[in-house]
Amino acid sequence: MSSSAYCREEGKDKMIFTTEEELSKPSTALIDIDTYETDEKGPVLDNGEINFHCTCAGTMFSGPCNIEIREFLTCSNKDKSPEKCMEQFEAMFNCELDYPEIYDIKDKLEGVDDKASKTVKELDPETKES
Amino acid sequence: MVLFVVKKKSSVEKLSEAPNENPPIENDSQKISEAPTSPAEEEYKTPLDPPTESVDPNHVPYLIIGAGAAAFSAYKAIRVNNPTAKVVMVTEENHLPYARPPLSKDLWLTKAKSFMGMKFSKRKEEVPSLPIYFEYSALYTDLKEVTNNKRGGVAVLMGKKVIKLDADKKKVILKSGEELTYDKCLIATGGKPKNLPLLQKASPEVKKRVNLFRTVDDFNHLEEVTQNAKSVAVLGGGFLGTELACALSKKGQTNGMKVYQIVPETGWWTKVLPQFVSKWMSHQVEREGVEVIYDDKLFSAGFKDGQLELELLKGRLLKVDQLVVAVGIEPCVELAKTSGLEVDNQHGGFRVNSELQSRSDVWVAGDASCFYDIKLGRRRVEHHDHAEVSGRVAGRNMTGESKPYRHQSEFWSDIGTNVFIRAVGITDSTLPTFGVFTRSQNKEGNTNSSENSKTDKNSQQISTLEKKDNSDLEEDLDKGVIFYLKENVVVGVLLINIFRDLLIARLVINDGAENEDLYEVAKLFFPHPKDDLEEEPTPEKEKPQISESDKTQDKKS
Repeated sequence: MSSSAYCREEGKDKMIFTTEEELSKPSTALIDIDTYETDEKGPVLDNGEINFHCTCAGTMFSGPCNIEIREFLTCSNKDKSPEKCMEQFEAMFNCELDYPEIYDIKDKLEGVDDKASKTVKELDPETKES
Repeated sequence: MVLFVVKKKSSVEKLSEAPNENPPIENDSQKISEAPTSPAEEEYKTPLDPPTESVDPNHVPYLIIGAGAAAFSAYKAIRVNNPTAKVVMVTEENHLPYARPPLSKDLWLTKAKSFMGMKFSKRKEEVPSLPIYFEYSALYTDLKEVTNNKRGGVAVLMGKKVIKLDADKKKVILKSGEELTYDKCLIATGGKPKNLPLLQKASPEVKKRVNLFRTVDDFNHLEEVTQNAKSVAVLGGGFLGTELACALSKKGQTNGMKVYQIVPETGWWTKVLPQFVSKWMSHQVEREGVEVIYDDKLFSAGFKDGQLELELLKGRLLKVDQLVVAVGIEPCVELAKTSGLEVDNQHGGFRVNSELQSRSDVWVAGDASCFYDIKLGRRRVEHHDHAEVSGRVAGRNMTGESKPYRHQSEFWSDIGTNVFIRAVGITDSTLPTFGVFTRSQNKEGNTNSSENSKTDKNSQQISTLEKKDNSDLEEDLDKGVIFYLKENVVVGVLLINIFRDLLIARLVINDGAENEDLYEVAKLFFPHPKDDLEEEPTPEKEKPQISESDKTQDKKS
């Protein structure tokens, strides 16, 4: 601790005041992070698979097109190449057309009246993941 | 048609592998997941029958009592594990599922009305679409459609109350007399705001001006009645009371409304914050223009000359147009009595095990759940994050997993625009604490209360605390971390204006940091310039309810 730091006690409460520079120095604390178990995993699991329970997914995997979205993402995650999963993508897209609000595809369809005339190529699969 | 079925069937089988990536802890669940017995899944594998033939319109495979955060995340988890699940929520409110935190926070800081129809979003880039509803109404169907649809879905029965749950016969009875049978049931009834007995007995004129606060309707009502109010008093010194006082004060800046906060204790959040922080916090609230009356209680409430007359215990008389009562909630456990379910005497709420189960096929999540925390013992938590995650765990368990609820939930609170608090674990102010704070160079922020003094006519007793503690102001608590200790083990972490990933706090609690130098542990919360490439977000930008996705990414890095 530097000279600019000081400590104080108030009953059961202890406190230290110091500069942010001091606190930004590397910590020597030994916190065990290996045994930590959490349900709050990120979008990808340790084994590389998609975490369908991720909060970040919103209602992607529970909403009306959940099956199609999962098939597409599972396919493209496996091959790491979305272009091999056009069939799944088309199924997903066709489902999502029925729920433009939920899947936020209104903007992407702007100016297109007939949904059959919409080709899937116009959509970038990557952007569908949000 | 046949093709459709076959294809979908295979997809479900394939998909059903994924949720079990986290291997179930107990062997029983393995059996369950190998041979799914859930009726919804079985039904899925049968060929498509004409709807008229097979479906009992009053049978709900997955029934959720409630439609708050816990209910909604349970619905999601159920459908992730069982993609064709039929889920039905029953709620007393006349609203589709929505998030409550914004009701006392962001909604007041924006043009409230214009955001009421917007979707709850956690994505940072969508900040303008401030948060109420979890999902658009297109997501929901009605009871008939959901029970008939082979692909399942979710229906919300609004304005309905479940008055009895029969766990033996697996059915619920609604107030309207209807009965629904279920396979799996989640109780997520939440809590309801407490009121004071003296206000419950008050005259109708008084009652008309007393506002309890919990729901979107309550928000709308308070928004409306404070539109032309000259003055309003908020009773309660907890999170909700303080947030509302600050929010109303913000509104007062535009319509001239005077805001009082009556705090029964000697400072803010005395149940959570160590005394020295609680005192410091009081200055922050006063900075927001709220006139705070400490250590006093409501003695009587009358109505005179078109205004409420609030007499306080120490003799002060407040004349205000509206009174907001924010003195905590009590878990909604009426069902316990009629249904023979166990309630915890100490914490309140339905008593459940660490897998959130009350009886066979009955789970409880959210505010109403008194669960067994494997790390920290029996608890009940009234926060949004807890509701979401416990709802998710319950939902997964309803589909055959047997996950314990291990998540150390967090809570957060914004005091105006300057103070942003987040905490994890047990933050009980009666515990010993160890705090580490930065010494700030800029003391200007704390020269406050010029706004207050001009309106302070009869409040001599109010500001004694302020004077007495002026010395403490020199110690800036603008930024710091507080550890709560039980027998030298860290059980809770509270952060003031620190925006680091809360995972660090969870790791510290999980580890306990016994025999560690807590000063060194505190350093973990301050970014080390070299390994921290991302800019620390500013308080205005970073709100916890929109940072969920970022947070999860942080964890990976």
